Amino acid sequence: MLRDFFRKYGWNYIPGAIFLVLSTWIQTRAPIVLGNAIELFAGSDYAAFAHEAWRTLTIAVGVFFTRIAWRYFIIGTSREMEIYLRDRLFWHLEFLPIRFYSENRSGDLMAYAINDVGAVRMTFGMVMAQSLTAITSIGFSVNEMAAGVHPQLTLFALLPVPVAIFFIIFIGQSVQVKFRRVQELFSQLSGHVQENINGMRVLKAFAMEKQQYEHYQQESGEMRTANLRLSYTSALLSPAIQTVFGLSYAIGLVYGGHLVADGAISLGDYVAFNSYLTMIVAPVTSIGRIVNMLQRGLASLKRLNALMVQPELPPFDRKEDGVPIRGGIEARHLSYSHPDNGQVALEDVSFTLAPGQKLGIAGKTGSGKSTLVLLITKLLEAPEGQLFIDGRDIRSVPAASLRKAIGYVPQDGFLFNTTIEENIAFYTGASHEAVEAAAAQAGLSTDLRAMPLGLKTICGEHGNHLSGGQRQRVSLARAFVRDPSILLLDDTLSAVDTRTEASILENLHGELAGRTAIIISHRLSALVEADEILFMENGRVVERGTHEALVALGGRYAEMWNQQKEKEHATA
Amino acid sequence: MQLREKSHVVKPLLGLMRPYVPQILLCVVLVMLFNGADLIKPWIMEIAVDDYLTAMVAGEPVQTGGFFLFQSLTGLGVSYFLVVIVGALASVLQARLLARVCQSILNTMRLKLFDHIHRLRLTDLDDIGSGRLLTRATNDVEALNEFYNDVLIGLFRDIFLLIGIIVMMLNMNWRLALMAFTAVPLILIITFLCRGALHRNFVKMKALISRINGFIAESLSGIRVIQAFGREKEKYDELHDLNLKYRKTTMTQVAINSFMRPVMEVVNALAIVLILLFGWHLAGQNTGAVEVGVLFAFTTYIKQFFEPINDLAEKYNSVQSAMVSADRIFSLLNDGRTLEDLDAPGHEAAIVGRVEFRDVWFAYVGEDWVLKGLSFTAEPGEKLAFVGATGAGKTTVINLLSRFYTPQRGQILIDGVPIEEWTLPCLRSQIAVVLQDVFLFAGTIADNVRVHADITDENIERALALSHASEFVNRLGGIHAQVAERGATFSTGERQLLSFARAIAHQPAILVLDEATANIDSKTELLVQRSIESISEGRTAIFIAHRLSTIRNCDKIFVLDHGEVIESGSHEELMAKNGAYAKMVAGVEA
Repeated sequence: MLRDFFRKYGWNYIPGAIFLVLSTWIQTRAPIVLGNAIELFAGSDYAAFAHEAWRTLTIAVGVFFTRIAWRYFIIGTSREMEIYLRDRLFWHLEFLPIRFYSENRSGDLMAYAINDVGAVRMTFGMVMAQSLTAITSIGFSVNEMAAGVHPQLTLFALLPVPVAIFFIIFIGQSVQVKFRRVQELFSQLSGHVQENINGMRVLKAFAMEKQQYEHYQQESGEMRTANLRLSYTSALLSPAIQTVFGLSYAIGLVYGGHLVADGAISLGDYVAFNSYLTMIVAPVTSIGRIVNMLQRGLASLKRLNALMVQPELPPFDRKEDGVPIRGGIEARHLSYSHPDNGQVALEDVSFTLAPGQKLGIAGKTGSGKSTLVLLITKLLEAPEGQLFIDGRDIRSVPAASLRKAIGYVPQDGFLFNTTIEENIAFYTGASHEAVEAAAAQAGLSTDLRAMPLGLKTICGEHGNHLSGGQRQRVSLARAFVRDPSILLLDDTLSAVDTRTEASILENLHGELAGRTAIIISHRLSALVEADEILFMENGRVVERGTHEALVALGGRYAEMWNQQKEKEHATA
Repeated sequence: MQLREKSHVVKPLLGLMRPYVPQILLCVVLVMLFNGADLIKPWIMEIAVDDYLTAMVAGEPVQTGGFFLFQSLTGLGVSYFLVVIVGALASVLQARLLARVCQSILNTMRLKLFDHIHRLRLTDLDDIGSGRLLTRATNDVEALNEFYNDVLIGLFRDIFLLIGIIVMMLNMNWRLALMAFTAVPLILIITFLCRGALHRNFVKMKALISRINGFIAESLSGIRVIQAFGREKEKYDELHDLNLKYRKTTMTQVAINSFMRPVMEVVNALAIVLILLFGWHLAGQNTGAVEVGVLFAFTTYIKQFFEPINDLAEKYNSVQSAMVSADRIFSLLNDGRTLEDLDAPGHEAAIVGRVEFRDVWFAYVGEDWVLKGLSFTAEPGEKLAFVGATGAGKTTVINLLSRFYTPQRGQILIDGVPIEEWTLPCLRSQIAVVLQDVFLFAGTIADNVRVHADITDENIERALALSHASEFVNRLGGIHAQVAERGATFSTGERQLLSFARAIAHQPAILVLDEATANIDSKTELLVQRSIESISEGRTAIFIAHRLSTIRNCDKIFVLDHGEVIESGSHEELMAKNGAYAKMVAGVEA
């Protein structure tokens, strides 16, 4: 998924790499200059000495500019990549079939958007820069030490360094494992607290606070132990590196000192040598982090690529074909089973709706009612030759055209965390008046008057600032405002009380005039006026007819009807 | 945060450390030890250069003296390595010790908050909000870690190191040292300016990224709506806008970060130039006798100088966020809300089951009375029912009976003893409440029936059988089957049956049942009906009814209207009265 990105931004890495190498090269000149200055200090040539001294500043200024340059090119580009990846990922996710969403929890998908995008960004930014810095600065330094000062001294002094690298990778890996354990426990602990808070009524009602406390005490103790293990291990890293390099310095001091005494190297060389040793500590230390982040980044890239190859909504479905949709729907022996587990959701369902006709559907949870609605919106794919819109096979009607003509009111009445007005208009560009009218048709007027901000009220996360009934009516208004030729109401009024329902239904019948509608409801009073009612069980139609006919039939529909009437009166 | 507020947070934070004073003092000693090691290292290098190498190069005799290990180059090398090892050991020990102290304090805080949350009254719990409580108990506690780790020891470490460097430099050559210090104000200004800007930008960046993540998460949960309405493009544009805003903040961050470090190097270099030139000048005047090794050591010290300052600036910000967390935690703990006292002494006895309300008045807020002088008596084993419209006060009866709330006026007596005199655990464990909205915990079916009480599997099976839940539980694979995602796969009816079993497994003397309003299919409805009959057998039972058929056999039926009883009596009596109740029944049969 990065090919397009590299085509556009990839060249940025070239000047980035050039400036980076230049920067480390300049930086590795500093010890020589310092060595020279110290050498000249013993002499009497002030001009030469001052020249060397000022060169220290020149070097710092050179590093200043080159560093800003490489960071702009490399780190800046990696930030650009982060934006690009997130945009692309979101665009892709938006066009994945809803089947994909029932298989993948949105929490896992969020991990892609947050962790994986972040890890890839780090790999193509910081990790790239750090590994290049590490390679070049170690290379330049060791070269200066060996070629410029003394090869044998260099060899001896660097002898302990591989041990340091071993420690770094070994401890680093161990820290990773322990860190994951801490995170696991943290989310476990959070989950426990959250559950207790949500279920506090039950816990209190059964006087279970003490038991819960003991349980939590144990978990919290585990967290403590895991944290201690992590701290113990990570506390080893820096002292271990310091000890190893301490040995290098000590070797440099003794052996280098003898070389100075013997006149093999100058005092300035000795000073420069020590500075070079200091210079390679940081890059060597960074190796562990580089290896670790590189692994994570590559794993993340792999995960992202696997996600990106998931098939999107085909181009045919994304473009309207301009054929108006009048609202005729016909199902011919329509059957549907979930492609993944083969579970049958609909079996041999047939009906014909001329434009403007209403179909009512009743039945228990899991009887296949919602599947039917999803098939009509093309959110699920109907088999060929079984579902027709205005006489055309639904498969040859682009989803874009179809969805534009449909007003869909989902069961859960999902709302976005913005104003009621924006939720109803939902990017149609509907005027304030149009939104108000739709809200009135959905029976929201009284509620809106009670809210100080009216239509500007923020709905909250998943609409949780509104009551269940209000949510459902806002999503009803969202469908109305689009002036759809087909209305699909998926158990839309379940959370509304009987009286409100009656008034909405009254409105609804006015609103439904001239539109094709499929009304799914647990509450049979909503279906009374439908042209035909299907009573479904396990994906099959078991009873069908008008309300009067079904009540007269005395079957399951009639039983449910009587039961509901009794309850209405008890709470009325 | 204001300074005054800060002190009121710092005091309790320091108070938590009181039990660990010896460990913390030991930490301080160890910090001094490993800081000392860092300071001695350049000094040993200086001795090697000045006392040995310069002399050797010049062909002069080496003046050895002092500590025996300093009497030869090899000795110096060995002592250098020994210092490194001592420093490393001190550092490891200090980190371990401090981690133990920190983790013990965090553990204490976690438990304290957990206990506090469990003692909050339900009104307060709803009032504070579950999200906020969760953050206090988890993230905020973790943030305290930074306070103890960074502030206490870190602050000390950095300040001690700074002082150490200053002393060492002054000691080696005070003139040169003073010259070097002229760079300090520059370092301080740049560091704090950059850090400040970085922090402000970071706050913006964090706010934006959490908005972006929230936006994506919301879109994913609402993907059906987006797709069904064909609004993919518009949602994408919205995200893209946020992304562009975010990009701006990240670029600012990259810019500041790119500038800060190299500019420090420039300041460092400037200081080194000053020292070198001034050193030459001093040497020439023969006033200070600047030695080469001193110059060399100074370049090292100047580099070391930058680290603690940068560290302090960084800590300043992380400490601030830790303080915010601490402030939130302590204000939750000390906000003066009344907590439920679970350990208070009081009346404890096996409940027989007599319940009496005497002129009970109750309002959730102010004078907004939900119950207006409610009185009734249930003798042991009697079945009572409350009917009435939504808002008539039915559910409040339950809340008062399990003492989630206390009435403003009047008295509630259990077995003749005022409800306040019973201990909470004794009272609640003998009154089983079945709520409309059944909460299921993650875990097995057995766990959910047990709610952590000591109940054998046999008794759980028996409770399930009694509440007619055995059939569907067996279908799921028995009592050890996992309840998936908080029981999302259970129907409302099944959840009800499970909560009946939960109530009955605890062998309560009094059963309070809030009947579910939601739709239950007719088969389960029948099971629920039969279950209610069998579980209320031999217990005082109070029903909050929504279906009139449920309560026909009750001993007494109370019709509530706006917090007052308008009718009471048995089904037959009420029918004969031909009042509100009779009208309700007639409505059903019409």
